[in-house]
Amino acid sequence: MEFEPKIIAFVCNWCTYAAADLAGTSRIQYPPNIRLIRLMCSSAVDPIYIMKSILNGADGVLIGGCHPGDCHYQNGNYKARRRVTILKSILTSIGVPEERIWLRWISASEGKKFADTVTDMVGRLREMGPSPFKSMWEI
Amino acid sequence: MMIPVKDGKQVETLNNFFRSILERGIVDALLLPQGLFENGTYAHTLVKDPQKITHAQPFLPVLMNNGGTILSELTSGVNSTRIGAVLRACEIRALYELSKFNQVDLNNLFIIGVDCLGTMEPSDFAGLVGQKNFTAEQYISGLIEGKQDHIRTACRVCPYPRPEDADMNLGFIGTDPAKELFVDCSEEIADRLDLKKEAPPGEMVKKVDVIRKEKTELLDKLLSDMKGRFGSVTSLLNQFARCKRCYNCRAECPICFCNECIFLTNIFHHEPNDYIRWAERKGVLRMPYDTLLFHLTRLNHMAFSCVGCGQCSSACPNNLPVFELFQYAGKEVQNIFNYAPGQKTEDEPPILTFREKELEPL
Ligand code: SF4
Ligand code: SF4
Ligand code: FES
Repeated sequence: MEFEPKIIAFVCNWCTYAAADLAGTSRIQYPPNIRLIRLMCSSAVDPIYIMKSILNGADGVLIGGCHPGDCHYQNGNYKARRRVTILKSILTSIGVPEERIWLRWISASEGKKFADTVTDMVGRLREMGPSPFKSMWEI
Repeated sequence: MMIPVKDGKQVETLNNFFRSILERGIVDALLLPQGLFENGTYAHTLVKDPQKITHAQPFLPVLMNNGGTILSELTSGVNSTRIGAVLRACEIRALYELSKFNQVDLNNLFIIGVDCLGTMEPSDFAGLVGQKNFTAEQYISGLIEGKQDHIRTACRVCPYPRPEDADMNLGFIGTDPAKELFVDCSEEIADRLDLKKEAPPGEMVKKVDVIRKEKTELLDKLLSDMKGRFGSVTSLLNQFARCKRCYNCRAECPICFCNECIFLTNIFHHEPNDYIRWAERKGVLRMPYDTLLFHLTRLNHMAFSCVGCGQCSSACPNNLPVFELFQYAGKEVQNIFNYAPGQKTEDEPPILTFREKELEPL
C-alpha cells in the first residue's frame, strides 16, 4: 500500500482558509491528505503547535497566511515568517528535515494555488517517507 | 583607580567600599553577594543599612542565582529607589536581554560589574570551604593561572572575565588582589567617593584580554563538537535520556521571560484517554510525555537570547547538558539574524521585530 502522508495545516481565516473553501466550491481536485485548522492570522501559530503535530506523527505541517503587505493585522505574517524561520533552524540543528514544514502565502482568491500547494506537498512528503516520530515512543 | 587592601583583608576593604557607596548616596539600596551563616553559603543580599554590609564577597567563585532574575522581580512595578547591583558578566548580560523583553527596568539601576573567572555549584563550594587547607585567595590565584577544578562548564568557556556595559567596574584580574583592587567609573562618581579617576593599568587590560581569548577558543572548541551530540534526534534523545521533565532548567533560566510559562498552564495537561490513545498508536509511550516537546519549545522561545550563564545545567538534577544544547541551537539562529544577545544595544531579539523584505523565498 502506498504511503499516504498526513498534513496538519494552520491556515489564516482571511486568506488560506478562504482559498481552501474556494478550491472546494470551484471543484478543484486536491489530495485528501490535509487537515485544516483555522486561525485568525498566521501569527497565531506558536511553534509549539507545529512541533506538537510533528512529534505526534504528522508527516508535514503547512502554515498558510496572507501575502506580505496583506495581513489583516498589518504585520502578523512577517512575525510568522520569523517564527517559522527560527523553528526550521532549530529543527535543522537537531537533524529534522525542515522540508516537513511549509509556510506559504495563499490569498482568498487563490483556490488553485491552494490545491497546487497541497498536491506538491503531498508529492514531496511521499518522496521523503513517513515521519520517524510516528513510531518514536521515547519522546 | 586602585584601592589598597589593608593587611590583606579583602573582605574588610570591600565592606568599606560598598558601605561608602550607600552612605554617599550613589545608590539607595544595594544588591550584593554576601556570606551567610558562616558555613560557606554565599548569596545575593538586598542591603539598605550600610552597617549590614559585613561579608561582602562578590569575587568568590560561586553563584547561587542569576541576579538578572532577582532584578526582574525588584524592578517590575512601581520602583522609586535607586538600586545598585553588584553583578558578574552573565548576570549583567541577562539583565540587558531581559530589559529588551520589558522584564527589567534599567532606569533606576546602577550596575557594578565585578571580574569573574568562573563559579562552581554552591554545594561544591561549601564543601571546599569546609576543607582544612582551602583558602579562597589561593583558589582564585589558581583560576588566574588557568586552573579550572570544580568550575561549571558554562564558566569554563565564558569569554567575559570582565563585564562590559557596567556603570562601574570592580576588578582584580591583573593585580594582586591581596594588595589592591581596581575601580573604574565616571569622574562624577569617583569624585563623590573621594577617588581619583584613572584608566586601568596596561597590565590589567592585557591579562583580561588574554583570558578572553583563551576562553573564546574553549567555547569554539566546545561548540564544534555539538553536531555529534545533538545533530540527530537519536543522539539528542540519548543525551537527554535522563530528563525527568521537572522544568527546573526553565525555572532557573533568567531569560525565559514569560510571566506564565505555557508549560505551567493546562494546555498540555491531557485527558487520560488521550494518553491511552497515543500509547495504543505507538504501542508504548515514555512517561512523563512531551519531554522533547518541552525542550524544543523552549529552544524556539528563547535560545536566540541565551546569554550562556549555565543556570539551566546547574539546576538540572540529572546533570544534563542543557547549557550546551541551548548554546549550540541558539548560535545557529543568532547567525541567521546577526544578533548578539546580552548587550546594551538597540538591537532587538529576532522574535521582537521583523523586516518587510527578508527571508524569502520561503
Ligand atoms: S518555555 Fe516558552 S512559554 Fe515557557 S517561560 Fe520559556 S519562553 Fe515562556
Ligand atoms: S532540569 Fe534537567 S531533568 Fe529537569 S526538565 Fe530540565 S533537562 Fe530535564
Ligand atoms: S490576517 Fe492573514 S496572515 Fe495575518
